[in-house]
Amino acid sequence: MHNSFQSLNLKNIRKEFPGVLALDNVSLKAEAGKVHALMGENGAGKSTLIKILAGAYTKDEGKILFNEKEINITNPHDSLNLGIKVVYQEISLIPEFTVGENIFLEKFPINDFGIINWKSLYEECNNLLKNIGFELNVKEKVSNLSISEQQIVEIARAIFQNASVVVMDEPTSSLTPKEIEKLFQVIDKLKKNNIAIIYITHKIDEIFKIANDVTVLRDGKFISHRSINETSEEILIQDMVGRKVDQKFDRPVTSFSDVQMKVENLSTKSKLKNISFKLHKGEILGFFGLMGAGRTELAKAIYGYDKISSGKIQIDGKTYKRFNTQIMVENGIGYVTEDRKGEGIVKDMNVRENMSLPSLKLFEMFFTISKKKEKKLTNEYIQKFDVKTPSSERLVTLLSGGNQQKILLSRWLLRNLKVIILDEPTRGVDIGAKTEILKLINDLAKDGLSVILMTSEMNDLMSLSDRIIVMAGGKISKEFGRNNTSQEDIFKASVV
Amino acid sequence: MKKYFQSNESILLILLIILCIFLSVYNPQFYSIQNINSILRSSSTVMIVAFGMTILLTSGEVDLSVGALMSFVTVIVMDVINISGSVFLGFVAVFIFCLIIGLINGLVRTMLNVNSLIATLAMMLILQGSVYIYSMAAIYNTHLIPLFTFIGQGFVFKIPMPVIIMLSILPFFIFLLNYTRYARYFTAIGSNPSSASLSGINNNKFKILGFVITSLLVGVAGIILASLMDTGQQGSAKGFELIVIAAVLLGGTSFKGGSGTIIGTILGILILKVIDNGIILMSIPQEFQLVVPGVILILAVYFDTLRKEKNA
Repeated sequence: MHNSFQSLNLKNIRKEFPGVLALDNVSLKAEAGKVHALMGENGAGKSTLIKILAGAYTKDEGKILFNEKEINITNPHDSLNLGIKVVYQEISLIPEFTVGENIFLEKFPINDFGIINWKSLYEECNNLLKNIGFELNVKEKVSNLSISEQQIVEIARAIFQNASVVVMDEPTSSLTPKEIEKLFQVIDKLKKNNIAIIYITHKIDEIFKIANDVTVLRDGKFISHRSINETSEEILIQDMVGRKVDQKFDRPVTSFSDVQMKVENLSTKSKLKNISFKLHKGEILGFFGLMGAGRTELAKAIYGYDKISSGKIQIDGKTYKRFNTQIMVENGIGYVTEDRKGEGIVKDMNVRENMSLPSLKLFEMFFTISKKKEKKLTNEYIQKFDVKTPSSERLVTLLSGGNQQKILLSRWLLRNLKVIILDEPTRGVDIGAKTEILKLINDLAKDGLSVILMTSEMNDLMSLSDRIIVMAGGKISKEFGRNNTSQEDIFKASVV
Repeated sequence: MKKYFQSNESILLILLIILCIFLSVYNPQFYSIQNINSILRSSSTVMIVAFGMTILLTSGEVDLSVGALMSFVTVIVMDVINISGSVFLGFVAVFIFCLIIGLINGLVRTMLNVNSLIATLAMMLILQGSVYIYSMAAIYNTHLIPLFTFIGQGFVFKIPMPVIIMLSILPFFIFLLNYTRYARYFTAIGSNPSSASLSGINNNKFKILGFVITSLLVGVAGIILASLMDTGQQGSAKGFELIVIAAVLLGGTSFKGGSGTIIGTILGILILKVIDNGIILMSIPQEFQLVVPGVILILAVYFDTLRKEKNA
C-alpha cells in the first residue's frame, strides 16, 4: 500500500498536437482519500489529461507533483510505478481468459517451481471480488460475461495491484443502477484505503453522490474547480457547455388510438417468455429493466436479429411469425444498438456510407448508386443534427461518440420509418449531444413516429415515455402510464 | 479516376512501372510482343478467379478450394466434350458443377456456420480426392474441335484469347464493386457483420452469392486452362488458390474483410506475374518463383498495416 501517498498535483499542463491545442494551462489536484470528478464535453481534453497521467502522452509544459515533489512521467511504466491506475471506458480484457486469469494477468501467483498456483489464484480472486462487493464466477470466461460484468473485472484488475491514484473513465456508462450503487461502495472502500480517485463522467447526479471536488474543462481549457458543497447541477452544466441547457420536454399526456405494432406471446429459447404489448402511432414506449432482464434481447427478437421460438408480430395489420432484419427494415422498422462500436458503426466506411447503409435503394437508378443524391441527403442530415465533421467523406471512427450516435440515428431517419427501437441511445454521449438526442426523440414522436425507448437513465425514461414497461427475468413485470409512477415504483417492479 | 487510384494503388502502379523499366533495361526481350502476351495470358486466369476472391475477402471470407476445383474443371470439360462432341455441353456441365460446389461452400459457411478457411480447406481435400474417383488418368483431347483449342491458344487482333475473355468479364466487376449497392453490402458484411445485419442486410445471402460467383469464375478459368494444356489433368491447378489469394492481398484487400478494389487486385497480379517472368529472363533458378512472391506478400501486408495505423 502507498500509505505515504498524499497527493498528485498537475500544474499548468499544456499539450499541443499538430494544429490542435489539446490542453491549455490545465491544473488538477487529486488528494488521498478523496474523489475528484473531472467533467467536460467530449473533446474537452479529459482523455488527453488522463493519457498524460498514464504515460501514453508526455506534456509539453507544466509540472506534475507527487507528494509535493516534482516528478516526470515519460512512459506507462513510470505511471504504474507511482501506482497510477487507469480504468478505461473501452474494455481491454482477453475474452478467452477467465475472470481470474484476466485480473491476475500481470502477476500470476507462482509456486516454488515457477508454476502458476491456480488454487491460490482463484481463491485470492474470489476474496478480492467479495471485498469490493461483487459476485462473479472467477472461472467464467470473460467472453461469456455481459458488458457491465466485464467492466467490473476491469476495475478489479486495476485496484488489485498497489494503487495510489485510480482514474475511472466513465465507469458507469454500461452499469445498471444496482451495480452503480455497488461501484460507489467500492469507491468508498478505496477512499478509506487512502487512494485518490479521479472520476470522469457525464452523469451529473453521480458527482453529487460521491465526489468531493469537481474540475470542469472545456475546449482544452481549465474552466472551474469547485468543492461539491459549493456548486449545483445548473452551475456545472453551464461550466461545461458554456450556455444554459434546457432539460425539460414539452410532452403532454395524450391518448393514442392507432396501433402501429402488436407483439403477441413472443418467446425465445434463451430468455424471453411470453412478451405481449402494443405500440401506438406517435407513442414513446419506454422499457426499463436491470441487467439480465432481457431488454436488449427483446429489441433484437422483435427486430428479427435473434430467432424467436414462438409468438408473432403484427405491423400495420400484417402478421409475421418468421422474419429477419431484412423484412423488418422493409416494413419501416429501425434499430439503434446499445453497442455502438461493436454493432453500430462500420469502421471501414465514411460518414456518408455509414448513414446510407440501410437505404441504398433510395439512391439507386439502373443498379447504380447516385453518389450525388446520396451526398445531398447525408449532408442534409449532417446539418440537421449538427454532426461535427469536416465533411461527409470523413472516416466515421475519427468522430466522437456523440457524433457517431447521431450518424446511427440518421441512418434510420433519412428513410421512411414507422417504428424506431432505441437501445440506450444516450450511453457514453456528452451532455450537449445527449440533450439534442432526447429532444430529437420527442420531436420524432410528435411527427408520428413510434418509438421504443430502452434506457437505464431513469430521468430520460420518465420525462419522455408515454408508457413505461418494466421487465424482469425475461418477462414483463409491470406497465405504468405517464405521470402515474415514480422512480421507486419502477425500481421495485424491476427487482421482482 | 481518383477513386480508382487510392494511395495503395498508386504505390503498386509505381512499383509495377519500376519493375518493367528495370527488366526492359536488363533484357530487351522483356518488352517483345511475345513476352508481354505470355505474361498477360498467364495473368488472365489468375485475374478471372481473383475477381471473385476479391469479393469474398472483402466480405470477410476466403475460398481455398479454387485450385482443386479448377483442376477438376479441366477433367470434366475435356471428358464431356470427348463423349458428347459438343463444346456447349462441356460448358454446361462445368458451370452446373461449379454452381453446385459454390453453393455447398456457401451453405456450409452460413447454415452450418463453419469458418470458411476450414470449410473450403475441406472442400479442397474432397475435390482433390474425388477427381481421381472420377478418372484415374489424365484425359486427352480426342474430340479435336478447333473452337475449343482456340479458347486458350487463339488470338484475336494479336491479343491472346484468355486476355480477351478476362477483359470482357472485367467491366462487370468494376461496375459491381464501384457503382452498385452490393459493393457496400460486401464491405459492411466484412467490416462489421452485426452492423450489416442490423441494417437489414441478409448477410448469408450475399456470402453464398460470393462463393457462387467465385466458383463460376473458376469454371471459366478452368476451361481456359484445359484448352491451353489440351488435356484434363487432375493436379493441373494445384496451389493456384495461393497465388490468387496472395495477389488479392498484395492488391490491398484486407484479410479481415472490409476493403478491396478490383484495380488493386489487377495490379497485384501483374506485379507477381512480371516478377515470375523476370526470374526466368534473368536466369535465376526457378525455385525463386515461389520465394520472391512470398517475401513480397509479407512486406505488402506489413506496409499496409503501417499505413492503416497512421490513419487511425
